[in-house]
Amino acid sequence: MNNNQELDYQYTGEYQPGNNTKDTDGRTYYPYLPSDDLKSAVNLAIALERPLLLEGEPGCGKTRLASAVAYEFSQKYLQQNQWWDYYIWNIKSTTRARDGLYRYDAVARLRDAQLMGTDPQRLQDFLGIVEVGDLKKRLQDKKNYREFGALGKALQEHQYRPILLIDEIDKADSDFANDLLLELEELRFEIPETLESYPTPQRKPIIFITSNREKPLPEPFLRRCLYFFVQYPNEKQLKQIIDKRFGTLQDKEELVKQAMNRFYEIRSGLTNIPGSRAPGTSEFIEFMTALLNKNDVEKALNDLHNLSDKLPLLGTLLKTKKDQELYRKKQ
Amino acid sequence: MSNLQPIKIDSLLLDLFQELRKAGMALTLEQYELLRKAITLGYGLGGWQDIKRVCRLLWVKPCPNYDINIFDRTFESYIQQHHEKIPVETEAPSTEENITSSSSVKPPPNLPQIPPRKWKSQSFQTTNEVKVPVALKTSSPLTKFEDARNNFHLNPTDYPIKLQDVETTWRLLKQPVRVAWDYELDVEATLEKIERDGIFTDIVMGPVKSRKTELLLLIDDNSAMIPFFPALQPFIQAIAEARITPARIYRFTSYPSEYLYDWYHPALAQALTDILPKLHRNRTICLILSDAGAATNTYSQERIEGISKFLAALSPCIRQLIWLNPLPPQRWEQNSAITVDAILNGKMLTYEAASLRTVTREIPQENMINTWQMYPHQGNPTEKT
Repeated sequence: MNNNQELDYQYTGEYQPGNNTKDTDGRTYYPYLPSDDLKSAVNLAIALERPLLLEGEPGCGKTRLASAVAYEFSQKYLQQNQWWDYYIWNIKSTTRARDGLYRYDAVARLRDAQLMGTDPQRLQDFLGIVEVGDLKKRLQDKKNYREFGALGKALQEHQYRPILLIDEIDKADSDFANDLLLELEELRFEIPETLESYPTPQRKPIIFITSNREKPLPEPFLRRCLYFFVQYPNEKQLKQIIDKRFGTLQDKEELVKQAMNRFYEIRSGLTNIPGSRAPGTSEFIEFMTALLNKNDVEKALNDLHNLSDKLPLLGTLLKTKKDQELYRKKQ
Repeated sequence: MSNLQPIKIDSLLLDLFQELRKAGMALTLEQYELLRKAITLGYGLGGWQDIKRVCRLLWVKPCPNYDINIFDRTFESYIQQHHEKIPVETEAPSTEENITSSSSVKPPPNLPQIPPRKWKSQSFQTTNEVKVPVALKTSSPLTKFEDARNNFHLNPTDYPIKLQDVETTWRLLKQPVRVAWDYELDVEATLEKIERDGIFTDIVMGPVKSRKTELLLLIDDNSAMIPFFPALQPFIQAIAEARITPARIYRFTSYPSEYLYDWYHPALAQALTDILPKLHRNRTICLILSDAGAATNTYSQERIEGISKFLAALSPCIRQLIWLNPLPPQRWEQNSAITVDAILNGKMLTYEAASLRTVTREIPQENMINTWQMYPHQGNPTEKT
């Protein structure tokens, strides 16, 4: 406990998971190569205790950053086989700000109360003695009907500063970000149903927020965040990412090089064309997986050469018919 | 040197903060405090580029008030003016710049070439005392230049309705409405029922609350309206930037007859019989921007009839009708605008932010139009709301 205070929470990007690293929740961790700017952004956000808002084109690694930080911290500060507290809150169009804090199941409580009011003998016949006992116990405390969301969990006291990822915040309703202002600013919340209140924890969560810029975020919300635009990796970084992800590929060096050339050719052909979307890193990794799964390097090279005819392979990079036709026409 | 550094950085940062505010970034004191905190924690001490990186992280956001272009431009010119001021220990490029003669200092590509100034070589030796004169020297030619331009420069912030107003209004108009298509459990009503009956008999279902609202923006493009177009820009911009979704913009000339025309492609006609059925009584809000003849002070029976016919067809299909007139009410007298106002039950509003606030307080679908009273021979004399 006493060494908790000494943690400096520095993200260096030096700890990389091996193949197929999974935590106790079954989440897979992948290697992540942050740029220097990104590293300093992460460290600054941690030091200033502000959320870090990440934007960038799809597939450039916004979401993966949080898990990379969680992985590094578990390696650096925790004992083996322990995992850092890492919460993910995936936003959908129907998500309300309160859902992230807690849900209160008033209907279940109503049902339980009604059941208790019926004839006790018949209730016991119907539910069995154990279930009736459970029901009684449950009904005694209102708190049994509330369930915490990712944000609610992260805002409670922890041994270390937990990591929270709020993924794709722009998916939600336009008021969503404004509803979160108090919780993000003061990092505390209340539950009116049970009259509980959770004060600001001593070890504040490290919050990452990602956005795809589908909707503009309100200014008061932006003011409370640090903002970082994740740049698309350049050729050298992409090569490093591939090396990290697929391990050493001595005999396939040529294939990787060719594939990257193809990839950048397609990317540059599609940027600035309205209505088209240039493929990102995640697509390229799929593309590479498809290529490397072929044991025969010659054949893979051949496929790469005639990419415009190999529809399934091309489909990993270009996701619409229009884009594929555009590419074919250019050939 | 090292114990001088924090003080110097402090005053520099404050200066920089002011400079960026002047350039148009809406920075708050809190954001300055945040930077101070970052500096005390040891960030941004590695020279100008490091400071810039930290400031950018803290201050640049994806919205016009915290624009990256303003930031980059202002910051670069600031570095150019003051780059000797900070004791740079580690950074190679800026010391290099100091050693080479001041004429070789290269400005960023987006700035006009400024002839080298004499004071640079002076301040190079004495780092402390020249600060105030420097600021004076550089700012004076700039303001003079601006003054000269101000005589014929139209400042877009002077328009009555700003993008911010449009957004706020839209948020208020989007209030959830109970729509009877889908039903959900109404917990509150159920509890009330139990209380009333004394026993739980059945749950109460209520229509799902929905906040689906769509905007139909109709802009009059007759020649008298053209001078007002720049002022209407916030609405068009809000739709183009998807701040208001879903939304459609159409144009019409004086009054919509059988067709409405696409805003961006005026040659593209869409029949009213195509558009009206796609509107929704509980969702669509129609906003009309037109002078209704007030700009040219003409009274046209044709226009009035055309408008009333259109409104009679439109009003059953929409939730709320808003008409903003860019001319003040005094100018509506003696021309068709006053009659159109009467058709609208006196709900024609002037083009200003206060009108938008009025609109948000209005109860929709209440006496939207008044055609049958104005033209009993023309409209349907039977009940119609």
